Amino acid sequence: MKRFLICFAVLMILQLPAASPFIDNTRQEIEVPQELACITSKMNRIQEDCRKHLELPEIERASDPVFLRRTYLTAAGRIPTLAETQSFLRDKSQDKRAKLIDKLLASREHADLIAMRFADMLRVKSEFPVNLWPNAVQAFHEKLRTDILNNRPYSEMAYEMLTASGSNFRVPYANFFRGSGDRTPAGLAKITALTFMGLRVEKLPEDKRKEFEAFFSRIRFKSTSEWKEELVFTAPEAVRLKAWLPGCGTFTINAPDEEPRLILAKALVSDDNPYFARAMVNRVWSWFFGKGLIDPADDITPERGSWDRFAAGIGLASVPANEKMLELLTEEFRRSGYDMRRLFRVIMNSGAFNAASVAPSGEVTVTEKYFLTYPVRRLEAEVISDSIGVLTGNFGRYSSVIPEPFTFLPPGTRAVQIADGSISSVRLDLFGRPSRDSGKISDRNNKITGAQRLYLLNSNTIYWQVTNLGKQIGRRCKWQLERRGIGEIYLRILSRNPTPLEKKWVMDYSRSLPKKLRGNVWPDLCWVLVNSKEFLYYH
Amino acid sequence: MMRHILFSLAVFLLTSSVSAQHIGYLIPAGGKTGETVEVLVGGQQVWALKSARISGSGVTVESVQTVPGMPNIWGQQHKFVSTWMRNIVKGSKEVPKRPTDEEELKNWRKHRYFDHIDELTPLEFHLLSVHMFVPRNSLQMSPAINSNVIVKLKIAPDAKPGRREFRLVRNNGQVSNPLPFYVDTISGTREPYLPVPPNKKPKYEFRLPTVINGQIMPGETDRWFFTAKKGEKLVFRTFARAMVPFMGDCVPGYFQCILELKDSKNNRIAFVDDRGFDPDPLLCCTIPADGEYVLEVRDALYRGRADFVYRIRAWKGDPPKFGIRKPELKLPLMKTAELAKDRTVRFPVLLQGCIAKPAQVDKFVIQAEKGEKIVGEVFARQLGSQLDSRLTVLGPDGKTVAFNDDYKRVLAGPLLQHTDSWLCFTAPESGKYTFLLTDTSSLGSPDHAYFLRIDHPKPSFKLYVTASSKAVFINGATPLKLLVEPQDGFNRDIRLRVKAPNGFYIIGSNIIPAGCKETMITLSCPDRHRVLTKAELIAEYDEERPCCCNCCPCRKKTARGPVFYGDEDTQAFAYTHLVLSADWLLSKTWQPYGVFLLSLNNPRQKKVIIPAGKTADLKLHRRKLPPKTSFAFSLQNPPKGVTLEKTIVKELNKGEADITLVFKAAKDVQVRRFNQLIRGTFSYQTKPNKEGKVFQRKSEFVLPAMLFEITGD
Repeated sequence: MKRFLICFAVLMILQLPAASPFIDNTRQEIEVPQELACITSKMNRIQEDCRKHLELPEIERASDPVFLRRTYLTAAGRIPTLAETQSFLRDKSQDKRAKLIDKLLASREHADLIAMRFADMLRVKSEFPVNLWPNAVQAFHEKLRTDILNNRPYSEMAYEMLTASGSNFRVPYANFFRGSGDRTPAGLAKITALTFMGLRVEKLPEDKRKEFEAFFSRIRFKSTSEWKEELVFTAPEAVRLKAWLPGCGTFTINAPDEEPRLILAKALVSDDNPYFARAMVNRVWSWFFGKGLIDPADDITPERGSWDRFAAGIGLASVPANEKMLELLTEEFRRSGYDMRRLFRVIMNSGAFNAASVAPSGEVTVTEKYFLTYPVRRLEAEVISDSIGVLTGNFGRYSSVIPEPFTFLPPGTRAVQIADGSISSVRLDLFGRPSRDSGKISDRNNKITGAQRLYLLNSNTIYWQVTNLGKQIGRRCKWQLERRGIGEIYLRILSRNPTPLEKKWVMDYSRSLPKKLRGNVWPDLCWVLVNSKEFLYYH
Repeated sequence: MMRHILFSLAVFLLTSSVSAQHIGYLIPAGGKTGETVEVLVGGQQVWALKSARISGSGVTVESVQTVPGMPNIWGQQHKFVSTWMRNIVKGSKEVPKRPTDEEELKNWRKHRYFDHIDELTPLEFHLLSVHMFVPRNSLQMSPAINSNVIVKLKIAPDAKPGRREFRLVRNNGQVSNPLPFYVDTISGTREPYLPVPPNKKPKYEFRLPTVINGQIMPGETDRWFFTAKKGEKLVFRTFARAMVPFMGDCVPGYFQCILELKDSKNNRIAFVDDRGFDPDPLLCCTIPADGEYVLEVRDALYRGRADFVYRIRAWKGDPPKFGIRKPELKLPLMKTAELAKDRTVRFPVLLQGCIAKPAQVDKFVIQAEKGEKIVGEVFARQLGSQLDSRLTVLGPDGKTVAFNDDYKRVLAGPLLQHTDSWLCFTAPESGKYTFLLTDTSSLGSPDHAYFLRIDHPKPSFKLYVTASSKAVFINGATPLKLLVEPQDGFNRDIRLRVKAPNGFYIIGSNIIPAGCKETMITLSCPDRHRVLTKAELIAEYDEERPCCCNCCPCRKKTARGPVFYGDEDTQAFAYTHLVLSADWLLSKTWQPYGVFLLSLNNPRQKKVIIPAGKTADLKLHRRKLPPKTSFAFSLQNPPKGVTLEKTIVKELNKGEADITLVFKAAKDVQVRRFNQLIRGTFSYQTKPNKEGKVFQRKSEFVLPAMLFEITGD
């Protein structure tokens, strides 16, 4: 039986594009919101030019079910529920994709997901090496989440983080500097460059690095008599500083009348700064496509020694099409007043996000490199966990022994909602949840391992949850497998209807079993689909 | 693990010096005037109780009942008790049959709660439900709150509303630490009791105005439902950290309450965490539409335990106003907004101002003469302001003469950020001196108000007594730790005396030598009127004032300094804070065994003078020792270089003896004066028990505190 199921899973992966449910065959026009039409058409033109230049055949658009699933995964961090899937697929309007995007981007689930992305970037973690401690973690995360939910401009958030002073428990953004494991000017410069400019200070020339560190030379921390509370402030020493900011030149700061952090923050978020908007756009692109237009998304600095060449023409990306796309989106992001939700809307309404993941034969590497097809990649640990939670109703239990008495997050808490990088579970660790130690994208491990496969194939937790799911669907469908069951299982797990071929496989399998064992088909089919690449991957 | 060990050590050290009786929480911690409330108290060693004590008048104790520890039961007895409980919940009076099997009955545990379930009050029934149906581990219980007492209190209709102090009183007169108890004018709502499974928790509901009393168990969020109409202004004022200011074994060290108001569709209407530096949230909102709303209460970190208790006062109307009150200083008050453009002020003066905008620097200019001593002191955070002051003084040449960010003070009261500045300088030349006051974090708002005192030094002190209640040994010596917070460079001896009925007095040194910031004294009392006594410690010093006629250099006048009473509490296994109390209560207790055998040769001796590099003696008289007993002596936390060199015992007639304690000061020891405790240990053997076994025991005590004076050669 197991052999059959594994064969089934393999066959699913190998489905031919011609019969593929992943491609939109309707050729129906997709309506993009009017205010985004201009920018999305420019983006599509870049893609089209690139395709023509590469002499590739036309790239198909993703089917509605694929788009629905992709949009939920990237904007809400989970798969859609049965009701949400059915409602979307029933909708025949041309603007249903745009409506879905807007609905999801305004949801609290989206705020949770983006807050998690920010928390990864800002190293929101209680324990070593960040040592923010639980009280500051919850304050920092709550503030991030609220700002994202209210669509606060990114420049304002960054400005506040760079200039925040006061208690780490009461002024949440004061934790940006406090959360640095290395609190020397060098350490603070390192996290600022990485977070807001996508630069690695260690790759800058020595003299420039020292001058950049000058911005942070007067940041101080003082303790209070509350456990782990620290006040962040700027020392009032009377000194004259010469400080340099990449892309903005040199500043002379007369302290204490002038506050270096204010000067830094103003220059950093100014439209003249070539790195600030660009780094964020590149990072957001990587959130939606798995890799940045310049990859890795948080390292746009070239190797040591080539700074001058780099500074002359920033973003020396090796891919010209991607460079154009980055420039276009950066300009759009600046013009919108650093409106993150608008940036997300633009990207999600673009042809790149709507493209199918099925590439012309033998061209996957090229099409994915230029984002002509949607890059196929494994779901992140939290997204896998929450998607399984949506299916089975069991999101897992999370607790922490760092505070005392211990923290027990309420039942139903989703993995993307966990504020603290120190709170985890076996499942999350197994699938490479980031340690949040350095704030680098590489903290997250999206590699596929044998242990992950074994966990999904063999673990008791998954087995029982999936078995119960199968039985539950069986009861709901009054055990009518062919008429209702297969369709509902596919809709719930893969957000699409089964193809006739898939239906045939399932029915053949069912008929091959003795009658009294045919009830097992329900959990077996659930198990196969949960273990399929289609479930575990963005596609 | 390490912090658990440290905490155990801290608790051991504390409990060895003060009463071991400790209360950790009250629920409900208050009631309405004219009502009787049943209060559940959680604590440690809450046995042999006589009564409870509520400060002020109008609250009387009707009964105090210790909840006996409930043993674990299983098998037939568990089934019997749970069936009986379910019958009672259903309204049936049927008592299930007990098994007849003798083997089973052997293991049958006796307890009033198990055997008389039909006679239990609802609160007792709730406690039994918790014991029976909630797994012990999931409660995260700690020994500090594991024992329970049920206290019935009657609040008189004319009782004055406000905060009181609740303590438990033992039969021997010892009293516990205090916890707040609130007398209110509006009736309260208590969290429903735990239902007997399979019944589910009922919906928590209330009507405004009310006082909600609840408890957050591990990971729990209490959801309170109420209806409100569009446009209604609602206020929810929380008392959570105010109820239990510090929790020694919690990290962070107190309940960090969060309030969230949601509508019936689960949309967030309001969310509040801290109110400034006060962790207790205050939620004020205007209701957007008619309907049902839910007030969610939880810990910010989703922790919880029996002592995570809260009290939320909910009403319709305007929120309370939190201004900062003027410090009690006899100085002319001047508002900074009314100053002239050149910001010149004549001192002594008390300036009232506000750092209203971020990075604002307030500037004041004074004229000072060469050699004049000037003090600048900020009153802000200690009065509830958000200002974290930083004070700088520039001389006539524009250079910094003095600077202070935070002035170190005794950690007393609920305040955790002692960030107010204090500085003192001597003017190096005559001219204009500029005071610059700003916020350390460059923040500013109308809540950043302050008072700035610019004055000549007025040396004084604040004295803190580190136990708000003390069981004093009859005819013995009871150690008491005192903390001194000197002000304006105070550096004089402080004389102490106890003002109390029933004969309490200071035995041994009654002086806090100049310069000491922490010292020990010893209390004693005679064996009469053994009642709980409200006492007062008087602290005086000789104040030198210039003579009005300037004919003589100075004249001495006795002045008093303020004395505060409090109990040392630990926060987060690490920090020690003093929780202040309104009263200082003394009770009498028997001294440790063996102390009656010792006495000072000179009962009036209070001082030991030791020249550096030499020795000095303290002579004791010892009565006849019982067989197989002995004394040993040591110094408690002596300063470096001071030792107890040897103990010479000279036997006299009839078993009596003279004991000479020889103290030595090292040659390089610092010349200083300090109060020193001498610890004694009396080793003896018990009388044989029924089996004839004899045990070796030790009783520890201290001799009256001695003022040690280390002099030069």
